[in-house]
Amino acid sequence: MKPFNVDLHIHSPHSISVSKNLNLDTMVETCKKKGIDIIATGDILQPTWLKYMENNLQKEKDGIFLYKNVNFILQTEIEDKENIHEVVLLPNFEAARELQKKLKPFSKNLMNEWGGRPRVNLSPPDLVDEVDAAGGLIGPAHAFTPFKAIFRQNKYANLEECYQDSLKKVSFLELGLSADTYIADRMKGLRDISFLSNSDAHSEGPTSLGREFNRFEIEKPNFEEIDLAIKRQRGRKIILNVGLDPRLGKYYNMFCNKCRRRIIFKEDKTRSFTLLNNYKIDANYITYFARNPIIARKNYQKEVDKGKVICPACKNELKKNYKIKLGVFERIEMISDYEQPRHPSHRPPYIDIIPLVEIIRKVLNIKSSKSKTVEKIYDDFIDKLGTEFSILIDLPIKKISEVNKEIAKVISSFRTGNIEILTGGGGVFGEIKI
Amino acid sequence: MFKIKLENSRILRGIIEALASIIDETEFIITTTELSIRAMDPSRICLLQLSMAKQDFDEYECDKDTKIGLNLEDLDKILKRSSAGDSVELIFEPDTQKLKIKMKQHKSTKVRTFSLALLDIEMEDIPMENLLKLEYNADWSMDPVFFVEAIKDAEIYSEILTIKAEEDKGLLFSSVGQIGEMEYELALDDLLEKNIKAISKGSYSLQFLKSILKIENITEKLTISLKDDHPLKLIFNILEGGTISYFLAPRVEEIEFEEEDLEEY
Repeated sequence: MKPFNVDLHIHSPHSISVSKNLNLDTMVETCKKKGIDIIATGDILQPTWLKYMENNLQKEKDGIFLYKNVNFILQTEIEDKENIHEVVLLPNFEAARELQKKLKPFSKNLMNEWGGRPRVNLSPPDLVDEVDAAGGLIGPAHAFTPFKAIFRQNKYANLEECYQDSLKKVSFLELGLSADTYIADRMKGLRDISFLSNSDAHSEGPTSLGREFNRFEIEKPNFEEIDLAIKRQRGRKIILNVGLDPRLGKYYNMFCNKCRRRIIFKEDKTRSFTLLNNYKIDANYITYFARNPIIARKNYQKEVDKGKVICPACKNELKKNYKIKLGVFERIEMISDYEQPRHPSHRPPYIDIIPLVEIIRKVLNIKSSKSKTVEKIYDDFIDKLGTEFSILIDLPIKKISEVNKEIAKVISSFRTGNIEILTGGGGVFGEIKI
Repeated sequence: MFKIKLENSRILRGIIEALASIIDETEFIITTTELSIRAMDPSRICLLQLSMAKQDFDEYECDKDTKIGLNLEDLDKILKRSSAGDSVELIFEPDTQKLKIKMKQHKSTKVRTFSLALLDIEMEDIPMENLLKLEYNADWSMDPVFFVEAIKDAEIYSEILTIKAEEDKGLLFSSVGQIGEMEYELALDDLLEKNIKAISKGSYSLQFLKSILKIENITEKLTISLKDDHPLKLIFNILEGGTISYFLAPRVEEIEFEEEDLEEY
């Protein structure tokens, strides 16, 4: 049995807002830099992308698909009738075509140029049944995010209610960028399901592709082995989940649905009362200052959950009422069973990471992570030290210091959980503070 | 059941119009002695409390304490249909689950009756007592007209009005914007009653102040209390024994806190 780093959810240029430069060559280039051994194809039901994959992936024995020494798993994301996104993994091209044929009557965009992530007019249990019948695996995508997710505000609070009798055919739950195992294991009902941490990449760059991944312990890099590992059968298993620190995720914090300002609470010891907090409105945040910010935040989120809180900034600027929406952090507070996570024995460890490009950008104080300088230093790191994942997770800090002391210091801080983060929310990623 | 009547609809119309500009729905509590409302605006910046005694109404019948949830925007629309001099009657019979609003013109046989469906509202428990107990450094009464004028002046420049009270000088309303700034001074003699013990200052949302001051044309008296970093307290007296109290959270404009020292929750 060998460890494989696996990213099982990406998109193709046939989904909205995906980089046009994303193709097999650029994907493989990033996979090699990051240390990804198995990558999803993304959007496999979209006809042009399916043909592109079918024509270019080498079909090896044992159902292995290869391109320039990187292994591929056929994958798509589907939006069901209830606006829930589901990740679907398929064993081969025959299964993909079979599923495409079955779902076609229920979808207006499945066969379209922009149907990379098709909308299929089937309920969650019916969609699960169709994928299962095609021999595929399915599970809810980015389960806790405020949009298009199973556990979003005013939607489901458990898997049973959503999938009903088809729940036994749901194989995994994808955590999403703003959640991790510590968050998800506060829900009793998730103890038996395997968690996946995938990138949901919309671009081929190293800040997107493989920003989250899973380490599988399997015999071969094929669908069958992935299937066994997800189901924890015959000794195959997921041995590690690695992902963005949830606080950096773009849906971590409460936000206004219109202006996208994030709602944060800060302590102000000078205050003697708890109602009506001093507040500050700026370009990105609405900040409430409270004597006890934890209690103030909890009271506030209870009202947000009821859909009763409107944005003071929009009320002022637009003279209209727009509602505040819960982020992942608050939503889990509302639907969790435990204050602290209770991990089942099968649950692998979870490591919160920060993309190397982001660390370099922050240390150099450069605005864009796509800057040439950042790119050059990133490539230099990879050339000298090996893959990004080994730099972030495994390599001794001393060794990283030999290349750049400042960057080594930041990596050391997040490995020990001592990094300060300005939380993300409302579609804006969080930032590390240096 | 309850049945309450005002010979002149103007007061009730004014109250509901002012409340509806801040809260969209609320619970009316009608007891044998008073009609009251306690609500937090949905952006959680402003708290209000209305209390009107039985004596303020021309007719007041209530056999037991009753709570009814109403959409204020709809009630406002209905009451705006009343003409000057109309009497207005609010009638609630539990089995109908509707509020009846009856308008009648003085010395006329014309009667108009509207009904409004009740809402099932889960009201938040608002511990307003703590706020009501707060001691302020500056309290004064003034003609609301001055305040309305200061608000209109400030609106030219920004969304925020700063109020400063000084024990020996009086009041200063000010607003700063990109195009310039304005100052509106009132001497102590311009105030009706005053008890300014220390310099007090606060900045508040003009949008809310405008909504709050909608009540101005039906109020007899406005009392304001100010203290640094505290909600602004405004109490309007209505009729003989009625009051509407507002607490408005201060808006921090400049960075008054060392951001680095503050942890985020």
